[in-house]
Amino acid sequence: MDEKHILTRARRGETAAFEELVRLYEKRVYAVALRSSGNPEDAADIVQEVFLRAWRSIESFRGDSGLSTWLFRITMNLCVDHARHKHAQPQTQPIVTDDETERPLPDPAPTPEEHLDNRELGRELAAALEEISEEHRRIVLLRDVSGMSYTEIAEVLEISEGTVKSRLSRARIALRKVLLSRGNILQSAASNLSKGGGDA
Amino acid sequence: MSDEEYFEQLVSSSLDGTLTESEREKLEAHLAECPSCAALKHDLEQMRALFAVEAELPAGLHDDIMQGVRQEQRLRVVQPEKPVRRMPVLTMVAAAAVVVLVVLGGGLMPAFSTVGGASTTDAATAEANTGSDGAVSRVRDAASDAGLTGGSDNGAQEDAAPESAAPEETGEAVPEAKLATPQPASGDTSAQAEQEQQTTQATAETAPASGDSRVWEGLQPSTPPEAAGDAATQGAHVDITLADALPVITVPDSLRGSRVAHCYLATGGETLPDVDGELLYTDEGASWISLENNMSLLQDTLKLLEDAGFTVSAFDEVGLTIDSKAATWLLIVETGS
Repeated sequence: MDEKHILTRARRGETAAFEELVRLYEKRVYAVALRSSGNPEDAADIVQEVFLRAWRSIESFRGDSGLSTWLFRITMNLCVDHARHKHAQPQTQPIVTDDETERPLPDPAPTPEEHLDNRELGRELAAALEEISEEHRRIVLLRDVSGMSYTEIAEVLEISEGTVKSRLSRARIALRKVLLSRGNILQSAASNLSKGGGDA
Repeated sequence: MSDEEYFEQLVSSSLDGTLTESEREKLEAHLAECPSCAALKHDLEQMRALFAVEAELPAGLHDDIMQGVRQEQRLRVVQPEKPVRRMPVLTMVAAAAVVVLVVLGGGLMPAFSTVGGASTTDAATAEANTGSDGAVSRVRDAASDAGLTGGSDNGAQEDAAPESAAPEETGEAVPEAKLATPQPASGDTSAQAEQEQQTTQATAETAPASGDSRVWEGLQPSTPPEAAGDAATQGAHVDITLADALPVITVPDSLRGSRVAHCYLATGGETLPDVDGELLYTDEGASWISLENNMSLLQDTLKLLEDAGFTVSAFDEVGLTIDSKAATWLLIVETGS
């Protein structure tokens, strides 16, 4: 059964159909929320809110954009809200933009040799994502975590595909720079810093 | 764009497999002689792999999501569209007068004496409310409906309009407030319906009947036609849309527990169009039709009904088992409302 038909049924208020949509997207939405928040509990809250909002407004969803576009737009907004809320609380982490040259001190633990379980990896990636700009964070989450195509990302962010390509490139390079400087999960590549780190 | 930026972008795009053949060749040639870009490619690939590490969905999250959705749906039903106003003093006096009339009527007419006092009071109060206050609370009317049908969604209604129902009726609150699954019809139900009719007449506040009525007592097989008709008239007082408050439906015994892929209600039309299904059951104006679980057929049928002036809505909690893999789906069509 294709997504369009499921959506039609869900828009008529059929919870069983909406549940099928939830099944189709929950994992990807959760992945984005987790990478964004770095915390499984917060991610679960975000995911629940995403689908609740979707359910509330699915009747008025006209389908001009794709369902995934619509859902991930809601997801990104909630992730950003969550991050802002988090930042509104006392923070010590510096925000690093592309142009900044100052690098935060590497996180003392865990060492690269230590095995990072998913939770640690999640925290580390989220911490690194927090250090790049919101614009860059969004595009990395949409492409590298949710797996959206350039076309879908362009729809979600309301930018051209050309801009998606260039912004994604800059975002990845900015993130690489942060990860290398933190030295926890990209340290094995840090040996390349003398060659490749300079271009970040 | 500088050469450096150009090749960085090519490196990034190479991760996504979006390079043209010519770009790919250019990048390969460049990487062979630029260690910086080669390192960049290596790092970005590694970074991408880190992001791709599967994030397991926590156990129970799916259920939590759906629980929230179902809760939301129930709230949607009981939330009044307009703020509930308190009864003005005159209305309260009128309500009291109606109660007296009804009680006296009960004394004079033996058939009414079978009705419990709590229901009588409730029906009268609800009617007086909706009739003379003008601020029609669908929640209050729905509570009145529940009294009529023996439904059991008082708990949720009580949340929204705590002053509307008699205390005796609030004891059996059940979690499922979206739809009341009515008890099997009994003599009491008919008598109650009849009494409602009397109450309506006593208040002389009958609003014009409307095709938008969504109160479905008429679907209950044992409700007398005159009572059902009156209930529909009462329903015309109520500003309810199907999306907001779904009707009370009694599943025919022959269908109870059936496994269907979907269940849809079509209301508001005059004539049942020619649908490609098997008529399972029919009663006063309602037809229960089984159709093959085929998405094209589902779409075509729903469109056919909408084109014929019906409002179609999913209706998946009526005492049936909904299983998307079931061989058939059920269509309930109410005509000539």
